[in-house]
Amino acid sequence: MMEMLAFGLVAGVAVGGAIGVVAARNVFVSALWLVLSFIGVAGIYAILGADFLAATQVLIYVGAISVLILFAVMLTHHVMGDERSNNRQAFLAFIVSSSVVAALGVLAYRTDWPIRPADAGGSVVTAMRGDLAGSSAASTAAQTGASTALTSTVDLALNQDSNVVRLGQALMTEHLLSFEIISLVLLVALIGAIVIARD
Amino acid sequence: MLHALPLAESLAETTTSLSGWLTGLFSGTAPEPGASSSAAGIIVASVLKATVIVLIVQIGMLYATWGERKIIGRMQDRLGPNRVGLFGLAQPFADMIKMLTKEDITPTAAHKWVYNLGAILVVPPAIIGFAVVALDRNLIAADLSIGALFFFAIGSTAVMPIFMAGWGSRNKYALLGAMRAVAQVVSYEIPQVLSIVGVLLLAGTLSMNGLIHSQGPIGDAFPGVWFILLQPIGFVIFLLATTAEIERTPFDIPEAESEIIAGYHTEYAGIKFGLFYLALYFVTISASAVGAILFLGGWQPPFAFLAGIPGWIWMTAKTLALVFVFMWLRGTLPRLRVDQLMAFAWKVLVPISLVNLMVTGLLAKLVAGRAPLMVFGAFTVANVAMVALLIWLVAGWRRFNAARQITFERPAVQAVGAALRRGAA
Repeated sequence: MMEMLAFGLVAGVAVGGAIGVVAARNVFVSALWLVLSFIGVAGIYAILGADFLAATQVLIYVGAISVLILFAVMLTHHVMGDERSNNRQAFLAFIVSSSVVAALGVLAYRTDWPIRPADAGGSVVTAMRGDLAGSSAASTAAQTGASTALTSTVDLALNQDSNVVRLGQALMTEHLLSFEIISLVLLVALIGAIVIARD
Repeated sequence: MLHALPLAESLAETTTSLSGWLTGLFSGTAPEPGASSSAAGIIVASVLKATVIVLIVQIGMLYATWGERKIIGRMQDRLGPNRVGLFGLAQPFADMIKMLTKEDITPTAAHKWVYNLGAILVVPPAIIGFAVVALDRNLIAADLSIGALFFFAIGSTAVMPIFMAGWGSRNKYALLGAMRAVAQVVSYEIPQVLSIVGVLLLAGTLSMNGLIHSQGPIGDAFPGVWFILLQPIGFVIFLLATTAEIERTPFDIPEAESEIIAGYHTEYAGIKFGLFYLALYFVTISASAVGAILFLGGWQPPFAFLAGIPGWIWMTAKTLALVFVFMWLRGTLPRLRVDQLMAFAWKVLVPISLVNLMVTGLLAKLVAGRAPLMVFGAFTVANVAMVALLIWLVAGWRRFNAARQITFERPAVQAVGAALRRGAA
């Protein structure tokens, strides 16, 4: 219940920011609303127990990507003016975005999310701590399967870093190929940027 | 339910995960056993912690301005403030009253919301970083499992208010200053983060207390020595990149008064300017504190027999030592040029920190789990080798540059001279 309140707060920030992006008259102000939306998304990651992802979201999206967007906006002409973007595509944009929302909504509704039952107790974190303390470890682990099976095997010291440790292990084993491909794509983009800058 | 916990005990309740803190704030489920269990209690404890941190930092900031003026005064053969109070100790309060009573001006052309929000939002990123700074073993607001990453993530958001201030002011100099600031901060973030990755690699943790435990006589975690001894190159790069990141002299190009008035805060007056000033000293202190935690062992005493002295004294001393280094740099070095600044980040600091990181990674694998002395010896050899290589490269580069100037520039100069003589004749 209270977790819903926390979720409502950060989700409100994310959605409010997103509405601000499309409602603002000025491109620069739109970009600022986008930053707020990114921060809301980081909050959602934090509530889901993905600390590392939340911090990375702030570091990459707020600290780097938004900066790049703002920089690009500032380097365009009429930086100082208050200009309304004056194309007539509002209706088209509405159709496209609402169909995307509909498709994602159907997908999200049909997917079988691995969520622990509400009666297992509080947030994921408190439940994990409960496991480690030994109270009702067997029953919770049986109910929730994979996600807690992992935590019940690690000791308390590792649990503090479990988020980072597990992410690192997953990147270096299961998702090694995608990790390497992403690195390669970034390298290509970097070299491309240098080539363009030298011309 | 309001718990009448003693302050230190309340501060000792640490939270290890963001999620536990966020949900704990609302649900009232205690993130740690022993913490107060009601929502009100947790909120009161959080507010109390935040108030204590802000108060400590605020007083630290006030006297950092006084200290800076005194120290730089002495360096420049002046006395510094000495009129208000004993040794000028009341000077910060006089300045504060001055700032608060000055007229609050908003330029007519400014974008009101962005202009005012820019000044307000410059402070939170500077304060939030203190949440993960450990003053003592238990004197930490939130010992997050991702503490170090959290600090640098929050630090990276500090460019947003600068952008807002520069754009919202509708002033060309402010815009130029903001552009310079953002380019600088984004560029120096890379060597700054790369320089600490070596430390994180050796400690194997991102938690602030975990990092401190792994480098001192108290506790038996690997490697057991201060990271400045294992990562001296990383420390120097961290110091330089941080100076640029918090825009202090010699890297204060975004507010170079001889070129662009005061950069992004040109149009701010009174307390709104005061907020920028406040944020500058906040980040100076927090960056010094994190430097002390990452490289100087935080609250750990240097030797085991000194463990009788409380940890917060060690931590404060180390932090102030680093704050002094920042002031020392300001008193010593002239400001860089814009082109030198970017070249220094990308062509000097990034390559060095990458090499340092690679060598550290290889060595960490080789010496994992060995005795502190063995680890220290191996890293000393590697560091001396890296510094020697760097000196050799710099010397070679200077020779190459000198040779190029002689071969390419002389004929041109001679040709111009000959043309001038022909013209005169």
